[in-house]
Amino acid sequence: MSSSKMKLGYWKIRGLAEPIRMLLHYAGVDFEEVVYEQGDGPGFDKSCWFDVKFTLGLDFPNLPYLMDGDVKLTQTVSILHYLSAKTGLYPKSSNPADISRYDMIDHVIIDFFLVGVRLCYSPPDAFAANKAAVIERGKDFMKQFSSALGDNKYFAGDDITGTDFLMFEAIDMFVKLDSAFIEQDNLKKYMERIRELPQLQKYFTSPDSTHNWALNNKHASFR
Amino acid sequence: MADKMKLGYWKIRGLAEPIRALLAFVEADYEEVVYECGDAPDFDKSCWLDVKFNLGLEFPNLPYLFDGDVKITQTVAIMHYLSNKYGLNPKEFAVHAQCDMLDHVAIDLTNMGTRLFYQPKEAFEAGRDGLVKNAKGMISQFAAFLGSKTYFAGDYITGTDFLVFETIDKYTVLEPTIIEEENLKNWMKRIRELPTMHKYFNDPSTTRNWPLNNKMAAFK
Repeated sequence: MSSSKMKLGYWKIRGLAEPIRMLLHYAGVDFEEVVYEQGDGPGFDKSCWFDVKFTLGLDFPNLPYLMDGDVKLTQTVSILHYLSAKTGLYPKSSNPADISRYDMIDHVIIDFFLVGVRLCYSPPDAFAANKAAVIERGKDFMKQFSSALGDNKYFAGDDITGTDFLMFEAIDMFVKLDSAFIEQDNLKKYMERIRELPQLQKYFTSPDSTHNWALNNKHASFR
Repeated sequence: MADKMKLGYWKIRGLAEPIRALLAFVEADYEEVVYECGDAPDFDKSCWLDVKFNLGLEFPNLPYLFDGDVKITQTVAIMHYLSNKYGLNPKEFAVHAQCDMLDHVAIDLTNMGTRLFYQPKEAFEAGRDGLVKNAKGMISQFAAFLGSKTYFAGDYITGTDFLVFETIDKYTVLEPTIIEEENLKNWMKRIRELPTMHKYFNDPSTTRNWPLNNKMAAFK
């Protein structure tokens, strides 16, 4: 008997899946983590994923993936948008200007996220050589995010949306790279606000939480 | 006086061409704001960099779209905005989610090429066969998803068709035989023969005839 519970498949790391996990925990959705754990060095064996990758009924096999009844999705932003709509955690405005703005912000966050991720997976000498410049590039993004957030509680205003989970995780990764990364007060308060959400206390404090997993896979220079 | 919609980008096909294709299909009246970088060896980008932070863009980048109060960047966000504006959205919730996924896979496929095209010439030549092989695999996934449907959402065209079309079409410039599946070839022909797009596809002066990539790329 196949479970009708929603399934989220990803590596045993935070990575691109963590914003999705945060949203699901916040919304109180009962879901199953399908966890793929890469082997240790030097091989870093990924066969646990590659052996099943093309057998799961995914149109564009990749990680993360989401299975929700007949819906089988890959692509982080698409999964977040789908779940945001399903759980009501999407911008309430029906003004096309607002909707396009939040869509844009999601994609800028992904650009920002990938700048950090590319650094983390670069070889150790490149990581060391490029870290300072990447942090500076990250800080350029942060100026724009701070300005876009302004005095709002969340990016869409008073209500949290999927965008905020994506933003939180991306910023948190950079903070792990550089503890003094956040320079703007509004972004510092924003991160605290999310950490203090009642719906996320178990997520942030439980020792089993995926929040405690490594950011990146085993072959990364920075985990 | 209402400001005309403006699309800003380099004088190349690049990331803007799917947007231009959609705008051609709906016969939108808009202005191309064209940035042309200088020639070798400097490839001077000051035409863009001098104005980048003065246009009122929250996240300055190319392409950008101005439409009244809307000032946005990010290719997918621009495609979604225009799809909504011109009634080219998927109609059903699940199909909408799938088209969103297709949009992002198309961007992944585009970026896979871009990363190699802008490498030095030797690195590009060394990686070319591998790129074609990987791109073929992804193009086959699009063909499988399309199946016997007329368009990616079903029997009606959406913004996703324009994004996927241009993504794949660029790869046919790299390797003319890259598409192996008949259904995908027929779908591309179907789009080329759309009545409102006759000029776009056949007039030698349209943006379709611009280089794929910027002047500093190993493959243009």
